[in-house]
Amino acid sequence: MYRYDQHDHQIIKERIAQYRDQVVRRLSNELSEEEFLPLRLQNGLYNQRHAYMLRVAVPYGMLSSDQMRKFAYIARVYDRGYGHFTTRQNIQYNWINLEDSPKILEDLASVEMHAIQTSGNCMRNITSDEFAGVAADEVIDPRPYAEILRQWTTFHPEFAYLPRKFKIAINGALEDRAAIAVHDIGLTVVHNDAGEVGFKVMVGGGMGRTPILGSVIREFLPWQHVMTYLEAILRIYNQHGRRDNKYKARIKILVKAIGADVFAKQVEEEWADIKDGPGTLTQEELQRVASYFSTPAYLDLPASDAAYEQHKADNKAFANWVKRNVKPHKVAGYASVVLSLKKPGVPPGDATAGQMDFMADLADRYSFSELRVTHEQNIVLSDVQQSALFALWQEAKAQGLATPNIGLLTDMICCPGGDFCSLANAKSIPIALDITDRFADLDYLHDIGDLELNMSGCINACGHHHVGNIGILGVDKDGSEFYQVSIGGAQGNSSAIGKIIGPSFSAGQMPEVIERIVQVYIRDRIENERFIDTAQRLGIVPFKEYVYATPIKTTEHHGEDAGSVVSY
Amino acid sequence: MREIIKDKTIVSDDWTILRLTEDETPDAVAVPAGKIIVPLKVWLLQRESLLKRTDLAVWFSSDEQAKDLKEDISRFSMLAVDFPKFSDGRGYSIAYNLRSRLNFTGEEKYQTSWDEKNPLFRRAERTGAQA
Repeated sequence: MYRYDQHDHQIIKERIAQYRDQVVRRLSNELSEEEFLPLRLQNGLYNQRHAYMLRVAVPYGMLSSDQMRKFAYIARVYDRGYGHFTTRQNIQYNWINLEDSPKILEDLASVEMHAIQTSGNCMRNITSDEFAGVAADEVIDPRPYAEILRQWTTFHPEFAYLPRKFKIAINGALEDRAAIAVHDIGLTVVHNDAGEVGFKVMVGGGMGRTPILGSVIREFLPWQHVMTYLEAILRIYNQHGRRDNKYKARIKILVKAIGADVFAKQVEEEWADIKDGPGTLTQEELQRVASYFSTPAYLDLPASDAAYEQHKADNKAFANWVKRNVKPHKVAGYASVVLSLKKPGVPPGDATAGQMDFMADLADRYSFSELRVTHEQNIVLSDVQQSALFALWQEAKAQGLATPNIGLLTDMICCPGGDFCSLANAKSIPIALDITDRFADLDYLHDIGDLELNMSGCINACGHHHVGNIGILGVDKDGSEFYQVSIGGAQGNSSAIGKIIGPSFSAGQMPEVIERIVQVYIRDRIENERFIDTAQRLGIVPFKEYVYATPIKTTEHHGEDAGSVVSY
Repeated sequence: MREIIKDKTIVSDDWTILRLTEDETPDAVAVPAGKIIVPLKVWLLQRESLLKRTDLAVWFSSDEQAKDLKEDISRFSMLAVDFPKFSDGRGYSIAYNLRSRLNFTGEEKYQTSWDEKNPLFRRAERTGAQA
């Protein structure tokens, strides 16, 4: 993976010194909170409901085992012993003291990490496929481009105060696992007819208040021009994106207002002037960066391991785990493993310091000391030998990291919600836990099969509810927390925005609501149809009719409301 | 005379920024004698009479475009870009366009009306402005 050079080290060091001074001035009241706010946000520090939250960037989700150990250390020393992995493949800590924050940034810098541009109206962490470089269906490894764009976006002098935040995702496989259609810019690495490498450029996707899928503004952009072309997009957005209303300030609103074709034309005009300029990527530079992502020392292994096959046949629990949590690898005899952070009773995406240390150890022993964070809030060991899967499973299971639920209903994407976030209208974690409880029966869960359930505590959609097969959105109704449900959303190659089925529900009704939706699917599915196929074939009507047909029972809650059956 | 940060040091500045009051209009406002930085609109609307002045500079508000000064850019030894607030980053694109598109080689200056100048100064330095 990429290693910092002297320039990376230097700019991070200077930034920490600058920030340390700003914190001192804030603590002595030389800076007011109002003045300090944009300064701390630039360094990833938010002020939440109970404490400061620090969001640390994990570039395109890739981590070394040493970096993961540092995360564990920070969780233990400065937080309450855990961290939360996010849908931007980052980690955030929810209980941080302002006084500690410069020291934490120093600790992070010691393992080549930082929290810069994890907040504010700037270009955020670049996200990518968690199986980049190893996926069986990969066309081109997107990581060198992701790293080049990371460098280009970091401290970009011109685009640091955009109208609103800006998110770029990049995919290099046949199946899009980076949710590119809901990004401000979504790039797909492709070949043209002549076999040359380039990008299909999508722009103007996003979620939040106005969910829109991105529009393709260029079918093929030769790779040399990726930075100048993106520069053209960003310059137009920086100058013409709306700044009068933050809810209308994302690039999707600009693209929608003038039309994707007009926007594309403006970009081409802007680009014509800077094309082939100093921002053009050279073969030499691409090679230099790509050399950090060279193929690890794979062994020459048989495509299938006899003992592994035997374990699968003998042990149903192992076979279930393999079916859901083990993914195909482009090298014979290897597989990628998804460690589930969606254990029943645990907030989705949370890991304890002990689990982080343990995952780092697993990476050292089984997977070339590397890990990836997925945008679905799990952790991937990308290069595991088939013959080691059984042993790895046993170890992971003992640490609560082998719940066989990847891609299933309980593998929810979920934001921290009202328990932590000051933007949230409603809690999300207790609802997630209640639903996970309801679907505790593994056989039932596996029978339901692929189902993406995404939940956000407010309209900002950090939990990607618009593109969940089932989406749950926390809303405020006369001061109480209620939940709106949508069906038919999807990410990936057939991305779609879900449709709301009707009036919202109380928290206590949610497990029963999800249960009823699933019952309609089980009743109406045609063989081998996944939930999303049935939902898109039937539309929302049969679901709506069944869900609202009879009064909905309430269930007991988790968390601080445990024991009560009253609506929040 | 005001003090400004220029080329990383604090120096006094003999330029005066002309900002219109609510009652003034860009076509009619009187431009005082001396080294004055006038709003782009004032320059464009009073161009004929101002052409003979050699001691003027022009400032851009953040919603204006560098290209609007294209015809006259070589007349100026200094141009300024206004940052109405910390979070308005349009000025950086104006500065880029002045330098790279219009090949302006004179001095560029960022001006603000808010206090926490340190970050802007660092940014000015990184985007090719001198002050």
